[in-house]
Amino acid sequence: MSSSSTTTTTTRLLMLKASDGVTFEVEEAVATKLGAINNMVEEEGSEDLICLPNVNGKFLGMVLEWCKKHANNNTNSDKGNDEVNKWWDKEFVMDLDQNTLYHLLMAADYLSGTELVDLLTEKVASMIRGKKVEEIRETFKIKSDFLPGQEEEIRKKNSWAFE
Amino acid sequence: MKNKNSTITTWNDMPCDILVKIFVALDILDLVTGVSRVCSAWRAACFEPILWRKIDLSAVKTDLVEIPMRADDSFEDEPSNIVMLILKSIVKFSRGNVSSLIFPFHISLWNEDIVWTAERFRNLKRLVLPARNRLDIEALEDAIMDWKDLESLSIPCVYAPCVMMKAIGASCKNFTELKIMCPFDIDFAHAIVVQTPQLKVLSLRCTLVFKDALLFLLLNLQHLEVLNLTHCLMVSHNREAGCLVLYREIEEEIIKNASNLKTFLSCKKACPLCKIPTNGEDFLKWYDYDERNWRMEEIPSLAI
Repeated sequence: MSSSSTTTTTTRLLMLKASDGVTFEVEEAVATKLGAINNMVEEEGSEDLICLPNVNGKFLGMVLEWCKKHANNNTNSDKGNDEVNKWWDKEFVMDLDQNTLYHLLMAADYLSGTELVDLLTEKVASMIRGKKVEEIRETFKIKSDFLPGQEEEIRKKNSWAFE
Repeated sequence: MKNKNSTITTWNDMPCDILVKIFVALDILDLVTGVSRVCSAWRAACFEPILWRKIDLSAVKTDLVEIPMRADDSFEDEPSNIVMLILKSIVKFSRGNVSSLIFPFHISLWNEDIVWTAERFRNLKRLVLPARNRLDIEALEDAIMDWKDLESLSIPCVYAPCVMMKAIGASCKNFTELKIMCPFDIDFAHAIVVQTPQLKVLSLRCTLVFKDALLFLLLNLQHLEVLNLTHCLMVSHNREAGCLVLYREIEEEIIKNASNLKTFLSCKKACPLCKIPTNGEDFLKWYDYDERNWRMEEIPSLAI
């Protein structure tokens, strides 16, 4: 209601351009949650278009969506924020397929979004825990690149009764 | 439009530093039996030292491990098998980078186990041994001689404190922390004072503590900073009656002598854990630590 309009402060907007030319207009306070963008703004100012040649629009959009949610939640000085963030993080990673997860993780790491990297690496770890080798390969669509003899040797050596 | 092959190969191409960020959240069993065998890039990432600094075998759910039986298995069919086999498979990945090793509560550690471990994990700074062990003092001595960097030892059962402390004193120049869970008597106190005068932290939590030993320690161990006496059962000799007296309250005399310590931990009156009966045979059961009690420790650096 009226209270929400009074909280809108005059924040500067940044223009971010992804590798495929897609541009995003984002509040500075949101984008600078990403260490890489924060550095660029500090070093070069925020007047120019910030080009991010290593992230495409789809994944940059997702990263910014996450930053926005966290920035919004954190402006409400409610004690339940941590809970809200946790709940929202859970929703955010719940249905990510391995392909999206891969690109998102690469994007978050490139942009130095430490908290988001932590969230995504934990998601990946949760998809690995307790699985057998074949199940992990299946989950992440990984082809074994071991030479046939090498694979056999590792398997044999790791059979819990080796050496 | 999507190139199927590119999606198939992506996770093989994940940069090593990101893989390591993922792998640090996994336990050693997942590393050894899972990710290290997926593909060559994942395997290479498993050699990163940061993954192996702390090996907590008490966190491994060993009941999930399938062990193919082999006739020429050099280990006997004992629970420690699984743990030692896991430890064996860690050697090649960790390459001397393990600085903290925690054994599980319930395993029987044999002489050959500890000697083997000491030879392969020479750079340990912290070691936590299981609740019970079947170690001959010679084996423990040999092992300690290999652990020159050892700073912290948690050892529930000590059968020959003098020999053990002597080995530590001779070998481990940076030794500063000791936790025991067995009776603390004058011989033990004497061995500590003589062999490891640099000791800073001592936990006697939940043990039987002889008053004369404690007083001797407090008067003579100059560098002691932290002492944990929580849930201890105190013992003193009643010379007139010619018997031992057991009691819970830490006397003024002890408290006065401990006043120079940075941290002195003891129980308040009416501590629920201390209410375990101390008469008759019941008090002996006090040493039968359960696992929860074994992990718990008021001194943060010794907690598991």
